[in-house]
Amino acid sequence: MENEKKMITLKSSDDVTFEVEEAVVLESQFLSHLVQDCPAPEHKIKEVTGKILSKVVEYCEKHVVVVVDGGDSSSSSGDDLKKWDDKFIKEMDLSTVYDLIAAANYLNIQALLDLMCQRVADVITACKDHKEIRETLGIVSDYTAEEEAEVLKENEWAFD
Amino acid sequence: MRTRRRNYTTATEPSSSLPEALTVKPIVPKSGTKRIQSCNAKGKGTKSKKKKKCITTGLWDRLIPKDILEEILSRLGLKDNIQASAVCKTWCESAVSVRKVPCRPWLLHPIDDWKLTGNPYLLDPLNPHHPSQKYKLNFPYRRFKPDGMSYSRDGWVLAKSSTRMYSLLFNPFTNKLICLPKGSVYHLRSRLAFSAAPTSTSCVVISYARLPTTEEFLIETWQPGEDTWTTHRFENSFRGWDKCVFSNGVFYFLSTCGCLGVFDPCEATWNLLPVKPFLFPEPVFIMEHEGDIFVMCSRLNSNNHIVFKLNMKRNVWEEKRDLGGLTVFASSTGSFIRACLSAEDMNRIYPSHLIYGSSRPPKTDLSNRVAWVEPPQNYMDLL
Repeated sequence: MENEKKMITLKSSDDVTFEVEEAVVLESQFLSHLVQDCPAPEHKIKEVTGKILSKVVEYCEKHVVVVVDGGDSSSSSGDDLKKWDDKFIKEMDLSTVYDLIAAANYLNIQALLDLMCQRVADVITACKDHKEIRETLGIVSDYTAEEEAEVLKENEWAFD
Repeated sequence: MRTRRRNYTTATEPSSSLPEALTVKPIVPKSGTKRIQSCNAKGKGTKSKKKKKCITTGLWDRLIPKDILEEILSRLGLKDNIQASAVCKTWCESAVSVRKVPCRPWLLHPIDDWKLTGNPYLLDPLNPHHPSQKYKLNFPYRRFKPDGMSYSRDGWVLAKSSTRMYSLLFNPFTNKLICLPKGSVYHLRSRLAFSAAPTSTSCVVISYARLPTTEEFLIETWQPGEDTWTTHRFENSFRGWDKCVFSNGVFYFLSTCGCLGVFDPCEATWNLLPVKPFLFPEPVFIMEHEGDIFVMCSRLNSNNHIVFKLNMKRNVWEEKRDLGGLTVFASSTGSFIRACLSAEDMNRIYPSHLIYGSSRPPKTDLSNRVAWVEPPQNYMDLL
């Protein structure tokens, strides 16, 4: 059985190739359909760069549900997986986070999308106010001074 | 099954982010998207630390698809959501669309105000269309003393039985009733509070009283499924811990002399907070909002209210000159603070002792016989 695992090659927009087991590909709904509909040995993913695809593959390889002899994954492996997720996102800069959200969205990997969205939500929560959110995420406000004052005034308690 | 797919712009220049050993081919950015960089840290010699600080502007506001932004903002609490709405107009639109605002509380009248008997009812006094509509309840209210209502939270009310020896948790919206086991002899004179709806696994009910003849403070705890109360005794040189509110995972107690203490139900610990004691003029209402602790002092038959907020960094009570857009619902059974209500209701205080929807004045002061209760999300289906 071990030796018969089907391997699939994924090629990024910049022609970086990744050889992965079919089970890894099945983590992505988009790729599952692609592999089913088009049984070619190699699939080019034009929308994702090699740098980001390597992260996606790394995540999916870790998250492939291993079912051995009908046994379920134990809760301790669930904790390990959570620790791994935390480490995976911890050192990631926000540009990579953005690209990974884009890739997870495109490839339809819900768990990865959730993980990355939560990471951004945590970044926002850690900011002390709206000004710090702008600074952290590189957003230029399009409010006029009057409009901004009005927004702040309406819910003044939240800016206390 | 949810499927999401839309055009998306990448954040980084892919060609320069790859290991040099790999053969790279630059990709052409999608048409119709602009990429603006606030700094240029993409050179070969750039250190990773500097690279991390590089922020691509426009990414998280102009280029991000609306559904992804909403997905992110929907994970924020109310306060963070409101702060996010002040970031820019795009964020404001998305933040408002996914904002989770708790329902305004309703009033529970366990007995009819006028006859002092009769059917209990619920009232939604802030309903702009039917402020005086009474929702009759079929509930065995004879089982508890109406003035024995102790605490209200998550749609549930905690009350003493008519004999006062045991307590009941009931939900006037669903008519569900849970009888708690008989407590110690001190239960007769204790006060009660709870952390969450008894349908939640995190629910802890507490009964607290100062032991007579000793200086000890007694807290008994009960969780759904347990047959008995667990007793905790703490050294206590202060008297009269008579107001309590659950927030941030702990019970905050306010003493009659203005001290603040906390009971952590998970660790079963009791601590005095180093907050400068403040002698609040009675009657005093303690409440929480988004992790902040508030105290309101009020004169029952006047509109003279003073609201204080606990500054947790400086450990002092700060008087609030205005409510900053909040609405206060005060009752001795449980007080609530709500945000984002209608413009008319913002910055207002609603006491429970007014007879809403009626022009007649109450015969007696029923303030402790009427409770604000938080309706569940699907309350309209239940009534």
